[in-house]
Amino acid sequence: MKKQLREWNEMIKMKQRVIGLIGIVSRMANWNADFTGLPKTTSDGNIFGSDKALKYSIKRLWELNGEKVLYIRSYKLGKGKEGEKLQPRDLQERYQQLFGESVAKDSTIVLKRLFACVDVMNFGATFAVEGQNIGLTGAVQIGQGFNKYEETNVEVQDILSPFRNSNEKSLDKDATSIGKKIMVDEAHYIYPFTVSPNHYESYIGLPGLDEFQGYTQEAYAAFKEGALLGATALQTNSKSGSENAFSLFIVLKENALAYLPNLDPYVTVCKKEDKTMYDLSAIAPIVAGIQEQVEQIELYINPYAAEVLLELDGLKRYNIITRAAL
Amino acid sequence: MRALRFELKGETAFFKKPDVNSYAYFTYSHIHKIALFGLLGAILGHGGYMQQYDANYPLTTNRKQAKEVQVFPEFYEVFQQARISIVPHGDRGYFAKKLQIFNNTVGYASQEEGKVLNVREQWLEKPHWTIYVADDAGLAAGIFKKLAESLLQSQSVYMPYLGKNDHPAAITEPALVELSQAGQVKFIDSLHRSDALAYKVRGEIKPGQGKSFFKELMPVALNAENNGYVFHSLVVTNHEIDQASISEDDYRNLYCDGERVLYFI
Repeated sequence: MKKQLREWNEMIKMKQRVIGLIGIVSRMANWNADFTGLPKTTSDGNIFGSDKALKYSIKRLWELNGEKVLYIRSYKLGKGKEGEKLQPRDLQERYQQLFGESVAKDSTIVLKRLFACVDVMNFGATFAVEGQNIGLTGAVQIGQGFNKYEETNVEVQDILSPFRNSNEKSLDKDATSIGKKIMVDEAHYIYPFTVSPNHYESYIGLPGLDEFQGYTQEAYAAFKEGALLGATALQTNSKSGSENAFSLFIVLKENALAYLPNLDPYVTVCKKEDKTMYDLSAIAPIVAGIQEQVEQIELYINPYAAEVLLELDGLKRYNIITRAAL
Repeated sequence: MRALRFELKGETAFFKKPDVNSYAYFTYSHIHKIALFGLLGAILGHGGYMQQYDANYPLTTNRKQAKEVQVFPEFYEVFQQARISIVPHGDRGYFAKKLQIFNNTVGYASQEEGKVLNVREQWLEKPHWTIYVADDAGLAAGIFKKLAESLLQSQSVYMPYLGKNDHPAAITEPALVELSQAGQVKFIDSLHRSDALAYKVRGEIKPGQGKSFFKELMPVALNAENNGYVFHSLVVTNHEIDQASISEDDYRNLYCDGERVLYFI
């Protein structure tokens, strides 16, 4: 069931910039594969996960929670020569499905609809359909998630298919075929992100968008939920060993415009007995440099599997699973 | 001359070349002048192409009717006369690149079979430059002051990124520096125009380095008609310059920051 949309005027405007990290652990899983099936790498062999992989997991969670998500694949039955076939919807069809109307000629109506989608509100949109050309830079920007664990091994397993290859020219036409499943034994992807609530300011006060007030705390809360649970909740064949290990949220004071370098290069990952140690202590001096602009710092961790090394004034620790204070 | 100096880095970057628009998208080898202006504009909160589009085709009207009230994106209006210098720190003035492929499966991206679009993007890896912004007539005094204050206090209205918003930029070690006019120079450490410049074929190479010569046609301006890039070939090399080939024009753009020789483009 779709959540009843609240009116803009009931929502609370978000005024704080947030800077943070999302740590994803991948055990016997393939968080983000390239086109050969191997984990994505840079030219020097460093494994990384794209911002798209992380956003996808978050969007899936939102969809699961019954929120409006525009930019995600959905199917319809299309008419083909040989009968009805499953086919992904195009943008106009998806818009129609979500809003029960075709794309309006008036851009402000379209904009109003777009901002009603939790994914657009957070990640922005490129909306180019006939007669409309709307580009929204998302309030939430996510960088590439580099694997910071040096012991990562890529595992390739042969897996047996239950079917024979139906291609009569194939060598295994008389036997079942063999496929490959590729994963890493263990990797720790560290994503940097920022939340800049000022991205939609220029749309505030437009005629037809009267109640709109920009990025909202509700939208941020949805992102935060995704940053804590998205990867854990995503249980596909290749990603079922991937989960949210920790998330750091540095919330600045209202309208503070402090800018920090990406925090992910300062993170190191090692093992202490069975636990994963995420060493974030190199971040402390960077954050201390803008201390007077910081409102609060929250760190969510899975205390059963990981420890995060970080000492900061006013740092609050929470259990990422129970959300209880630690 | 006074200038603002800072280090600009990232894990990855993508500065799209507009001249190839099918199969794969390629990147310039370095941040170019327009992308750098965009980044500085983001720091100060100036609008970009999308805001320009919204101004020319207001959301509340029929968007097909052009009015052309804004010829350039705001950041370019502000920075177009600014003089900047870009010093690359890659191996041989060059960064590794890799073609990254990702799927756009939402089904709206294209009219491909099955509605899955394979996006192929060439990314720069571990890019690192030292950037100089000149405090001269090219930049309104108020703008330079604001920019310097923003960087020195780590303030940014929009988050700066390297070409595309999934490649966040790290800006570190901002400083106001005093540059001296260059006299006789043997090497140029930054990207530079080389219309007249010639390099000594049997000349010296910077000590401790292998020979390197990089040249690329890069954007240096926008045209007013359609905001297309205006190109100029830029060079970075450690070859010795033929002194006789340095023109008056070149000398006007050459400065020194300690041992480092800069060319303002």
